[in-house]
Amino acid sequence: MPQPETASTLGATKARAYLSSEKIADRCGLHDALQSALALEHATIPAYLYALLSLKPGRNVEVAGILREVLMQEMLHMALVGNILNAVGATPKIGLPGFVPHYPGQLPGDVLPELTVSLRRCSIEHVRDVFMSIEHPHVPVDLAGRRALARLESYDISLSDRGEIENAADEVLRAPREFFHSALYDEHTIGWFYQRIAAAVIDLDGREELFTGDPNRQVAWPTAPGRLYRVTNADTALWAILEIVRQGEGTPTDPTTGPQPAPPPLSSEGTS
Amino acid sequence: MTPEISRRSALHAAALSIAAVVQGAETAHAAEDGSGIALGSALGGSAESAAAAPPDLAHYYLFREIVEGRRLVHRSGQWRFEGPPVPFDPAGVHPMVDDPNTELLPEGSPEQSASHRCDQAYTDVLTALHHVFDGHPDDFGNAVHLMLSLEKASRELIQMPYPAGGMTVLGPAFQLS
Repeated sequence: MPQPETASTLGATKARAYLSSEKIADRCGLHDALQSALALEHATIPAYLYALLSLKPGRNVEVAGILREVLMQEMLHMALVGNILNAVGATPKIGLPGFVPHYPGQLPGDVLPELTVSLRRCSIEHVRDVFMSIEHPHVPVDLAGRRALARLESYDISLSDRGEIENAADEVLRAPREFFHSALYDEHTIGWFYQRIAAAVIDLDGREELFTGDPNRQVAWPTAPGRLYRVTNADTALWAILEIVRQGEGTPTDPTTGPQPAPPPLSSEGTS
Repeated sequence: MTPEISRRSALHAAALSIAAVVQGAETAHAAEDGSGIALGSALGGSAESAAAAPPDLAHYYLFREIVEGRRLVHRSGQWRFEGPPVPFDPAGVHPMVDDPNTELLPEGSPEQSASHRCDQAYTDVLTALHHVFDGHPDDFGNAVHLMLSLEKASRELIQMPYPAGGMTVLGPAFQLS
């Protein structure tokens, strides 16, 4: 096991501080926010896996396929955050006390604080009341942000087996920068959390040498259910953050990109 | 069939093919004993899960397909839950207990021992992932192997009725050991 003494950086208390503070001010703040992101991405996996394991072999195969798809993408999101952490010179800390939530309990990072996540066998009620609440989309509230996200979605980026972007012009590489710079999310949503991380990457990268990590620490997963970018600079870090946001939240033009069928109102949204 | 759908199918097929690259024996074993519906086939692949081919929807809409009992499809310019059925049969679900807790199981019982083994398998996965992201990216395959051990340990718990004489069975507690 990794050393437990730094566990507080992953705990809910510290994470809450970074979720509610106004701005990520320095490299250390960015590291802590990314560690919180890692814990948050992990926190859903036991709950989804518990439901998946409850399905008897050969039964409910469509439902199993859906749970499996989401589970795999949550693993990809952990890997994306891990690559960003390594790129900015930090060591991703996985499996420390405090990294694993207590079930039943709240998500790390004070995300959706009214929602209790528990380990339950699969049922329609559990998927509706807990899983759909966890993943309730929070797209940018402003029209310009929505349009920018839809435009980003239209770029067909392809990756090499090592996760390098193969086919993008400079203007495409830089495109997420403009989006994250201007997008407005409702506060205390996951989209807002990642937007602040992206804004800090842009800000700090302009002020200092931020991407000091050893590129040999980047993890590749060529058959990932999505794009695991090799993160070596601000542009690739922002594309990596965008991948998390678009798979989890969607973007505005359709459900692969956003909430066209009006979702039911949820009280647990945690927006102000 | 839109180009978008075929892109999704390709993504899904890619997700399943990791088995061929990373594992051999474990996948075969999982298929033999019929236990490979979870991580085994997610990481391992099977004809059954390929047929399920979930689209590349945001997670909220994937879950809502389960609740609506229908796939979300694009028709006449609108997205509707009017696609192929997504049937859910509660009888096809193991009656696993809510929020199992290893520490609350009878001290020294076979149930607690099995739960400890499962917690250890979970801890091993996280430790392996920490190692991968701490400068050993080539060891990713080992972490995947350990995920299959976690599934196996979980399935042992699912075979254990608990509490005694009740209708429910145990499940993984996902506690660090």
